[in-house]
Parts: sequence; C-alpha cells; structure tokens
Amino acid sequence: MAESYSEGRSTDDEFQEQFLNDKTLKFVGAAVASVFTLVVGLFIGAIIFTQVDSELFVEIIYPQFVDAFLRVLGIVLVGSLLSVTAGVIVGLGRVSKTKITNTVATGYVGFFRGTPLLFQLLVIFYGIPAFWPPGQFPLRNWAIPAAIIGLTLNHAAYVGEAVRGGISAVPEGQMEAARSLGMSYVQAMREVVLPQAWRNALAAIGNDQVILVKDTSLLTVIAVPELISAFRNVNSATFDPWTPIILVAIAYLMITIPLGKIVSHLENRADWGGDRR
Amino acid sequence: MSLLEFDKVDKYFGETHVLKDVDLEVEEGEVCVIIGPSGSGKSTLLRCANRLEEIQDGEIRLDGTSISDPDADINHLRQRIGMVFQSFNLFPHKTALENVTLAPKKVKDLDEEVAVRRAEELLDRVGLADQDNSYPNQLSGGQQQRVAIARALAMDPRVMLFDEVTSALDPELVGEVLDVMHGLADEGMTMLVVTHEMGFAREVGDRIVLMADGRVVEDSPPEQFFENPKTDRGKQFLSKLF
Repeated sequence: MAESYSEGRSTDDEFQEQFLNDKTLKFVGAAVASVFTLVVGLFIGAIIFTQVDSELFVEIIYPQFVDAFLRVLGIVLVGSLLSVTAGVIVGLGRVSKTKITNTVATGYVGFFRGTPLLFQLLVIFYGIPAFWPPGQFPLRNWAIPAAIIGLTLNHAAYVGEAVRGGISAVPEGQMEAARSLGMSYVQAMREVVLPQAWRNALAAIGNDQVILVKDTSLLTVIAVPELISAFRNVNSATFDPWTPIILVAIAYLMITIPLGKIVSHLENRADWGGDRR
Repeated sequence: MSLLEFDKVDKYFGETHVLKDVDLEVEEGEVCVIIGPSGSGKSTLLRCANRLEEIQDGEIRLDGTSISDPDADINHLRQRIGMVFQSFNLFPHKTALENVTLAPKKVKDLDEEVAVRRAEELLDRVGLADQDNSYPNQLSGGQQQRVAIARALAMDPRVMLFDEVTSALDPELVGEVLDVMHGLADEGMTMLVVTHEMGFAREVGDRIVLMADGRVVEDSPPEQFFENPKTDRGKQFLSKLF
C-alpha cells in the first residue's frame, strides 16, 4: 500500500489536523467538562430549591433513613469481609492444578456469575425455609442473614475472578524462587505470590465491592428494610418523590465514596519502592 | 560418593527429548561450568537439580539422597541447594534485607534477630551493606542479582546453582556479579554454573562440561578444553566463539 502515502490526504485528515490537534482537544475537553458541571449543577440546584421539602427532609432522616443506612452499612461490612475472604479461596481454587478443586471453583464462578443476584436472593430467602414444615423454620428474622449469604456467594465469584487474574499476573519465577529456597507451596503462595496478586487485583476487587454496596438495593424484594424501602414508605405516604430520593443518593454515596478512598489508600500502601507512578 | 550426582537422567518436554542419558558428578568444593549452544539442555539440567523440572528416567542425588524420587522431602532438600536465576526473581514487595531473611525465618524458623544479623553479613559480603532497606526496583540489575545470591546463601546451601545469571545484565554490570561468584568459589563453595561468560568459565571453573542436543559431549579441565578440546563438538563450539 505504498502509494497511499503519497496520495493527497483526505478532507477527513485535514479536519483532524485543524480541529483535533492536542491544543484544541484539551480546550474541547475542558469546555465539555464545564458545560456538563453547569448543567448537572443547575439541575440539582433546581430540584433542591423547587422540589425538596426541607421540613419533610429533616423529619424523615431520623429514624427512617438512619435506620436503613445503618442496616445497609452493617450488611455491607459483613458481606464485604466474607465475600473478599471467600473470593480469595475461590481464586486459589481457580489457579489450582488439582482437577477437582479447579473444576469446582470454575463451576462455582460459572453459576454465581451466570445467574442474577436477584434470582439467588429469592432462592435463598424463599427456598431454604421451604425445607422445614410451614412455620417451623428456626430463624425469625431470616431476611438479613439471607441477604448476607446471597451477597457473599455472588460477590465471592467476582472477587475470585479478580484474584485469579491477580495471581496469573505474578511471574512464574516468583513461585520458583520461593520454592527453590525450600518454602512449601502454601508458604510461597502466602508470603510471595498472594501479596503481589492482591495488589494486582485491588482495583478490580474495589470495583466489585462498590457494586456490592449498590446491590443492597435489591434486598428490598426480600423484605430487608433498606434505603429503597425507606424511599417507598415516604413516597407512598407523602407522594413526594424528590425529597426521599435525594436522601437515598446521599446515603449510598456516604458508603461508596469512603470505600473508594480506602481502596486507593490500600493501593498506595502497596507501593514497594515507588514503581507505581 | 560425589556431592551432586546425575545418574542416567532422561527428561522430556512432551515429545521432545531434552536430556538424554546424562551422567554428571560434581565433587564437594568443585566449580563445574556447563556451556553449550542454546537449546542444548544446560538450563534444564540445572533446573532438574532442585526439581523445578521433573525427570522421566534416571536419578539425581545430593549427598547420596535422591532428589528425583517422588517421595523425597523436596522442601527439605531444596534448602541445601541454592539457586540463582537469570531474571533475578527477587520478591518485589520485600526490601533487600527482607528478601534475604524471608526463607530463613519461614523455613528454618530462625528468630528475626538472628536472621537479620546473618542477612546483614551476607549483604555486606556481596557488597550491598548500605542497601538493606531498598526495594528491588530501586536497585540496578547487578545489585538485584547480588541480593539474589545473598538470598540463596542465607539457607546455607551445600551447592549453588547459577542459571545464566549475567545474561540479563547490562555489560558494565556483569563484572560485579562475577566477582561475587569468584569469591564464593575461592571460599570453597560447590557450584554448578551455566554461563556464556567464557572468561569466567576458564578462570574460575574446575571443569568445563559441554552440552549439545541434550547430551554431555565433553567434560575437561578448562586449560585442556580451551587450548585443545578432546572432541570435535568441543572444537566446533570453540571455533564459533572466537
């Protein structure tokens, strides 16, 4: 295709040269960002001034929204801890060279990543108590344990894939070097491979945990009084959509933004002499 | 009985026969240098010596104990076989000092204090006394490779395996690593060295083992090998070098 270089350039190229050089692109980017901020800011401002009922806002914060927020926060803390722990185990299973371990871990990920969380929550919440005669199920408040089990099982599959990717990205030589010093497979994994895999996987795990926070909104269908239920209660009593929905947004952001900060703190901590810039 | 013995070793990668009936004995205190064209099986032979690769036939023994036996306590045996790799393989999340103390602490259950004192000695010996707290990515290739040597020595091995340890280094950094190896040899360490550094092979080696196509084709003292090789393969190899 040598001749195409010498041929006259298309108007497309000329357009690019004129309008998409580094300088104009920078300007266009800044302009788009400013307009975006202005539009969103005006929209939110307009809603707060015209739609939000400040008296109702203050009135529903406590106990309705505080209760729901604390309940969600508790579920997120336990669910995060369990799903990350279980996810590391799933990830180790996925990289195992033992056939049965590997197959089970792969099947686990296939199922829990392959079916909706909503389906899994319904199966656990309605399905498990059905093994007992009607009314005989021993747990009176089954919704919250069922929620934690569902979120853990589901997100362990995603965390497991992140951990598998993190382990695969650690060079083979790391395991060999550790083994050549006489360390067992378990010692080499724990001391050498996993700390590096953890750093590789951190961004993906953090991403998944943010999704876990938002997935708590599905718990409304298994009767956990969470933030969406709080919205519904207020909305059906007052017919005011904006006042409670703004509180829902604030409540979720109060969890997801600090969570993001924790993840970047953990990433910075795994700096090891500054190769991560 | 020799310290390290390869006894009729056969190794396959799938269908490829990479080590063919290899016999080799390394005596205590000896520096045995393995040379040969790439693909001749020299690195594989070295990796079999601490069972990073499994062999399909024959036996490898350290001090009379089989390494290749499937029931061998390989984690225990590997403590007595130090290995240094072409690509250093330092642990990037640990400082130079921690790289050296990790295995003594975890495998030999040494106290922190004892392990650190010993590691400081070893880092001093490889000329890196002032780099204790540096992470691998803050060190040059030559420095990293010297930490890797200190890390292997920390387990007090009976024999050290060097797998093309200068091949990944900038030319001006090769010397500092070879100097450390030279010093080790002078102190009587048993060494099995795969290298392309002919000057080092000639000066430090007690024996030159030439491999080609998965076989040991010549095994001579360095003076003889470099002046007047016994075999045609030896002559052929040398003629391509100079």
